[in-house]
Amino acid sequence: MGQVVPLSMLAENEEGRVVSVRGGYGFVRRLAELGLNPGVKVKMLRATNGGPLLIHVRGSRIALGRGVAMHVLVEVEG
Amino acid sequence: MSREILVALAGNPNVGKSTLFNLLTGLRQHVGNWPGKTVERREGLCKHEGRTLRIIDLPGTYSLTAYSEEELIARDFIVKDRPDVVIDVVDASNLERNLYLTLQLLELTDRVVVALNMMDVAASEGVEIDVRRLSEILGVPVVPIVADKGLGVDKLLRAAVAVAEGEIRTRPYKTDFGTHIERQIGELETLLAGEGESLEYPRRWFAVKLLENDPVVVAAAKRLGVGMELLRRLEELRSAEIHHNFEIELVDKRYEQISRIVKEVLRRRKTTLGQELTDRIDRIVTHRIWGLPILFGIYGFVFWATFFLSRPLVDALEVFFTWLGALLVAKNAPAWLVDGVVGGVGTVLTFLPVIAIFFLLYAILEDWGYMARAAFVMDKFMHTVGLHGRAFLCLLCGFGCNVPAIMAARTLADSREKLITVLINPLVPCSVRLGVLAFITSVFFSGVLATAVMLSLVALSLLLVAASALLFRRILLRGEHLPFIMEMPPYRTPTVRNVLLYAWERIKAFVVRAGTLIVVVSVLMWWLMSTGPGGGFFGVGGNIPLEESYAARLGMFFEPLGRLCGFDWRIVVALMFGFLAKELSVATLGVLYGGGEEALRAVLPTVWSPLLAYTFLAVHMIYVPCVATVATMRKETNSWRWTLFGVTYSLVLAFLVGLLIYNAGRLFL
Repeated sequence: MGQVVPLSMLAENEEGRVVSVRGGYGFVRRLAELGLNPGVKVKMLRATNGGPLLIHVRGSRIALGRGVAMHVLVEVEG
Repeated sequence: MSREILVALAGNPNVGKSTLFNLLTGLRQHVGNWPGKTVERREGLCKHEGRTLRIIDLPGTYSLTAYSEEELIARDFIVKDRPDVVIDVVDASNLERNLYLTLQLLELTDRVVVALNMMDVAASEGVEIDVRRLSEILGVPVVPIVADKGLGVDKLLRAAVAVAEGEIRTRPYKTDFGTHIERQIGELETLLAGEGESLEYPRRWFAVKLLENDPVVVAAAKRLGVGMELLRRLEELRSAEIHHNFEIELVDKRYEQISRIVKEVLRRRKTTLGQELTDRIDRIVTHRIWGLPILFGIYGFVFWATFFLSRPLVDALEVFFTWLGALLVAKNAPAWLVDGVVGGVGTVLTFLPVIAIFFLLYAILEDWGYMARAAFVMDKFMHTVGLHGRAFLCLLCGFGCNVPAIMAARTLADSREKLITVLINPLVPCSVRLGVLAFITSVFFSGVLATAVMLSLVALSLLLVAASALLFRRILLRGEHLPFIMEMPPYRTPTVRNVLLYAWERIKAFVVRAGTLIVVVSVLMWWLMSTGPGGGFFGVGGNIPLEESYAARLGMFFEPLGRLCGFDWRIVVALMFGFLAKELSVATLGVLYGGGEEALRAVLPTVWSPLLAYTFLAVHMIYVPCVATVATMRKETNSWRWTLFGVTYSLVLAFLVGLLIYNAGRLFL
């Protein structure tokens, strides 16, 4: 069982599994439509200082604002 | 049978949908807007084995909810226009995410053909797809294609025609939402059955959307005969199952089944993610230190190429139109034709080299995949004014010319953000306005002071851009935060066809839709200038002194307002002509103060104070953009109301700034 942290805390090249997505239904659904829903594996490709993040999920690269990534909880995988 | 077949192209963004569309339609395509929307609508014709296919490129979407304009357009088209067949373009290298839309399409219509695009990319990444099995599961034809190279397209069209003409009977995959939710769906469906055939939407889809609390479907339900009963039942279901979030559960169920489908049809030979090249390029262009310099380098090159490489062409066009004008005058052509029409057409054409070069380069960067990275790199900075990274290039391009800058705004994802970017763009001073700024500044100021004057005015413009962006965000988005979520497509080699068609379409759209307006306004302005209460071309023939024209009368009429900023009627008239093209304001001043543009250098300091010059420059930077820009705003917003709003806004803003500068200046200087 890894540690559960907000997605924005993942370091570059670190991988994790989405545990939950918090926020309004519209927001949660929008993320899910891009493939980011509980259970899915993500990999952090690029985490800029204070800027957006780039992650790998379900075979595509998704750029997320930091605010968005704070709402996604992931379990860190070694 | 020679009936036209209506084909809709659906699919996620970045799956090669436009490439397929361009391949099918070539030059027989028409780009416009969806009625009443800022979303682009592309339609074209394609001949296939004696049949004519009318192809509609639906906006690229990830889903079919009611929460974005694009998704609503796509699903409304499928429901209301009932295309004979929907071609769902799917990225084979990203099957899992793409199937999410496919399942939703299959809920909506049974006339679907899946085009499995980018089979080559998938293969190179070690992905193998059992196409036959996928087709069996989905219950619709699945045709592997490589749109970039035109492979598999004939087969795709044959399958599409067969589905459209009913030769192939499809058995679309029905998403199983689990016994519990299925029971609720069944109940709602039974109620809906009372509505009979009058229900526009497929019954099951309607029921699912009701459970998802889709606002459009709920509103439609209210209008139904069984509406009251339906909504009461829905309310009961919701309150009885307070712990259930149907919306999220339905999404999860779809993905559950997609995982199962993918497991059955897809085999990955390698365990790596593939796309090493994309990752390697990304590591450089999104680098925390190198990312910005690279972006400025690339954008700087685009800017340089657009506005400097186009210069000789623009100059040549100007020479040609001057020559044509002189020739026509020598042949005794009427003045309205020479100055009005030829002048107007000349204005339109001199924009073309700029638009062509800008959009050729833009298309290359977009097709290659860099534009998404640029948005990523700029996001942090644009965030301070509440806009996304993509809007940055539009603003930067504005320093050269606002026309292509506003045209580029159509690639922004959110339609409200698009509108904001269009509305604030004219406040970015274009090269012509910067030219006027440099000229007048050099007449009145020198040395360090001249530099300070210019910089202060450019800074003022940028401040107003930022302030207006924040203001419009408050009004249009009501403070709502647009979460930044964007897909970054893998890098691909741009195809010549895509790039050329893109630039060609932009040029055509500008000439046809903005050009007409520019010519009409040119003729009108010419008439105001050459005709007056005392006669003029239509009365007497030949031109009259500008002082006696309607234009001057208008200037005098508005002089009291101008006085508040220290302007006399001459300046007001000069600003009026600046609407035609910003450089004309200087030319008009030359005529009105006598002696033409060259003599202005000597005359202006005797009639204007430096304060007045500064006020004039500030107003000249801000007030109504030129007619070409206004025409482009109209074309891109697809709305006269927003265009007029933008024009009025800049006019009022300019007036207020002029008022403030002039009067504060008189107090303190």
